[in-house]
Amino acid sequence: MGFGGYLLRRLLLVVPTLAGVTVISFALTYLLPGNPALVKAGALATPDVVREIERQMGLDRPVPVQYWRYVSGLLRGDLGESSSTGRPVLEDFRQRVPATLELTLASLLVAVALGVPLGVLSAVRRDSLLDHVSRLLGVGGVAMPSFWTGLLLLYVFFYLLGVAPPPLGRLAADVTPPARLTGLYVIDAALTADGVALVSALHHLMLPALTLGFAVMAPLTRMVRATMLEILESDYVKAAWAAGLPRRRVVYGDALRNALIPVITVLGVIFGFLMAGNVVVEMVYAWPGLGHYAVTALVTKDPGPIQSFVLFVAVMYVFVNLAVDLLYGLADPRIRLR
Amino acid sequence: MSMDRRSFLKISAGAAALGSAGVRPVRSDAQDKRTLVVAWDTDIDTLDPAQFKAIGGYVTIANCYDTPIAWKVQPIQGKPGFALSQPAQWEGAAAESWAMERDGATIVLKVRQGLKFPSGRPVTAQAVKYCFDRGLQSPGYMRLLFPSLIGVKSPEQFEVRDEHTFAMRMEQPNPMAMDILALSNNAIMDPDEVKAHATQGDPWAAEWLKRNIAGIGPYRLVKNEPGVEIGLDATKNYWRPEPYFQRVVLKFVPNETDRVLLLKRKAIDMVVGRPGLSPKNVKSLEGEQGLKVFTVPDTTCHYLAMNQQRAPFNSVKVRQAINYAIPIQALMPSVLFGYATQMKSPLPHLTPGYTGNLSPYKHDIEKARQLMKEADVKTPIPVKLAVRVGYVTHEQAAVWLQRELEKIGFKVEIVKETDATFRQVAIKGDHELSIESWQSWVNDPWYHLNFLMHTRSKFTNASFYSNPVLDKIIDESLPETNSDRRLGNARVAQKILIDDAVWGFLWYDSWTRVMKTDVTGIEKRWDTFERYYGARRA
Repeated sequence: MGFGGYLLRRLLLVVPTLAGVTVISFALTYLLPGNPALVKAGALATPDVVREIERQMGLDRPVPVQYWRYVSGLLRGDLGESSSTGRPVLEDFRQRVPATLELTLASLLVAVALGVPLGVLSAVRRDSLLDHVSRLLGVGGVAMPSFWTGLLLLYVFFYLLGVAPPPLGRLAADVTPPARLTGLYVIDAALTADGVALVSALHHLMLPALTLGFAVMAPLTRMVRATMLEILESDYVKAAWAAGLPRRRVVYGDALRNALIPVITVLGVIFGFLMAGNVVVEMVYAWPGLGHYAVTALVTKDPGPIQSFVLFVAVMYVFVNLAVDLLYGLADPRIRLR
Repeated sequence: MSMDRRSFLKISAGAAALGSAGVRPVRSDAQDKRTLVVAWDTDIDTLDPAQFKAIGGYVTIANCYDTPIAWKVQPIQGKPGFALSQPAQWEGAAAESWAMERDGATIVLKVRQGLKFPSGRPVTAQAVKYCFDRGLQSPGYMRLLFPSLIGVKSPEQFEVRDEHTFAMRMEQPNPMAMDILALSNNAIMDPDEVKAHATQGDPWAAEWLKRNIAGIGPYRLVKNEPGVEIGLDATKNYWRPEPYFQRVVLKFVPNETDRVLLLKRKAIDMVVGRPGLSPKNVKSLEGEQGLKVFTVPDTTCHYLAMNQQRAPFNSVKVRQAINYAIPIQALMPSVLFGYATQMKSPLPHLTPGYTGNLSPYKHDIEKARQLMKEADVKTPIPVKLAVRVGYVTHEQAAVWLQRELEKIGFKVEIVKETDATFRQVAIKGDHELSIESWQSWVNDPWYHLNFLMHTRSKFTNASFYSNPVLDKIIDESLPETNSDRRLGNARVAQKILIDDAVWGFLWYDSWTRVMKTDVTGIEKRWDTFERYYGARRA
């Protein structure tokens, strides 16, 4: 069986995984304390009203029946309704996933653009001032909570200098969002040649991406540095040095290429982490993504959004892992996907 | 439009350069004189006037729907540019006038002539009846409030006398009726529009009304992007004079520090919400150039609920001891920064009948210890004090309370719970001590005490106080029309509740807003939610 067979087998394996995930996401709303019907009923409600809402929400039905309703709803694309926004969860996700994805991709870009060269330079100039600075930056990125970094950047660039836009979302108030193709404003604006929206989107993306990118740059830099150090000590690199190959070619050609293989895994993990866990940065910049939505749902014990968020994260990880495995096959000639 | 890779890269690179150079490509909404930009941290949960729970829902409905009558506001002496509602003062809205019959047991509303729904159909008495019928027969506030508080239990009590005359017949006169009619949940909707979206399973179109507005008000909803912003535009050809602000943009800003920075940078006009800013942050904005702080005493109560179904809080001596241990003199400056008033009664201090001189409680640890000794309880008493996550003043007050209560024999563990958990644990009776808050939409002593102190109010009587004598007084006083008896009974009830130390008496919030100095015409009504049609720029 070749690569196609491997892919098919992996995709088929996704099905039981997803089935398991639906059980977990469904069970989660039972394990969390708090009765969603009570929240929905409000402070003035009477026990009768709460019972009526429980009936409407199906919470009075046996658990297997509720699970079946949930799964059959999922299959129809019905993820339930959010009691905070009053809208179908699917509609909320359509609005919020692209926002989170845009921020995630932009911060990954920042992390890769800064982290990889820094890791390489650190390894090549081991124990130099640059190495120390790079390690210090790495430690700083991990040690400084992104809440703090975000506020600091806002304070300096928005409040003091006035060069960053106010933390009021993804676009300036009087800029119309670009025609929706992907939901990622930067991409959509670029594809439709909407210069005003593109400038505004980039302007608004700048600080959040920098904050988040700085936070996740550290593991990337450390990974690149460690792998590079290891590779630079390996026999084939020594042989290349000995053969008199140019330094640039050895470092940036042979060594870096091989050092990037484990980076793929790290990037996959970071991507998943960012998609699911950048609530703090979203809060600081009023970025209308998934993180704040999920937290609000947890606080109000809103079953539809909670279940959908868990499901979304699980599905995303399944596909991120799959993508990482596939990329491995492409990047590392020693691995054959069969 | 097609674009090749080169153009794409060029545009992207150019845009990135502009962005990183810090060019501010667009002006802020706050710079448009006729646009009011407000920051808050709420979304519209539903647009159904019978069902809203979130502040976002309430404010949008209050600005986009007319009620039959409304609370009238009056300017405040010494605070130019601000107006407050006053007890027993109303003004016409969808109804231009009203009259009482049967000694006030029937309220007759004259629907405003010439008023039209957005569809162009006229607002008629029939429309008012349809909305009241809907409210009484579908789940929501009206079905909860009308039967129990003003004795309106059947749609037959709503009568259409002619195209513009509607009458509501109560069983007997009721002094709360006008206030209840002024609530936003009595929004007047276009019956034809609602019926067009009704289904067999949803005869009152509750599903459609969650996301649509079927009435008329000073503003109309033009944008609702949860987590981003709500946009309201002034309604054209509305019966009131045109509002100054042609557009109101309510920006979702979940982080309080951002709201402070936005104000300081003047990127927004004001912050609203409950609480939009903590007292500490309001204090820090006092005297800030270009900003002003507007604050008035309000009716929101914050209290220490003591579960009287559980020992030792079933002992009145223990509850009294706790009241003597509350360090209110420290809480006022250190937690509330002066934006509150000390609570001296279970009634809000702005409510008719409030008596502020009945409470003997003040911070006196010796007296508290003495009472604990008299209560004859074994110490130390381990106890959990529950507060809600995100309620900053509650979290801080809990620490002060913990320290003082430990001086009189308690071993206090502070438990932080999310809203949903807190409410569920409270209703199940599993809280021992908890910091609760309550705001009565109707500023009436019996509305307030009915929800908070009556044995039957299972969900809102957070202390599980049960006193048949008080229950009887509440039942008798709810419909009492004689003002002297009504207020006299309020005094008796307060005496009972204060002697019984029903709560640990903490504070009443002040209603506080911080805004740019040129914003004026801010109106505050009993329900605390802003209507923006009176606001303007100086």
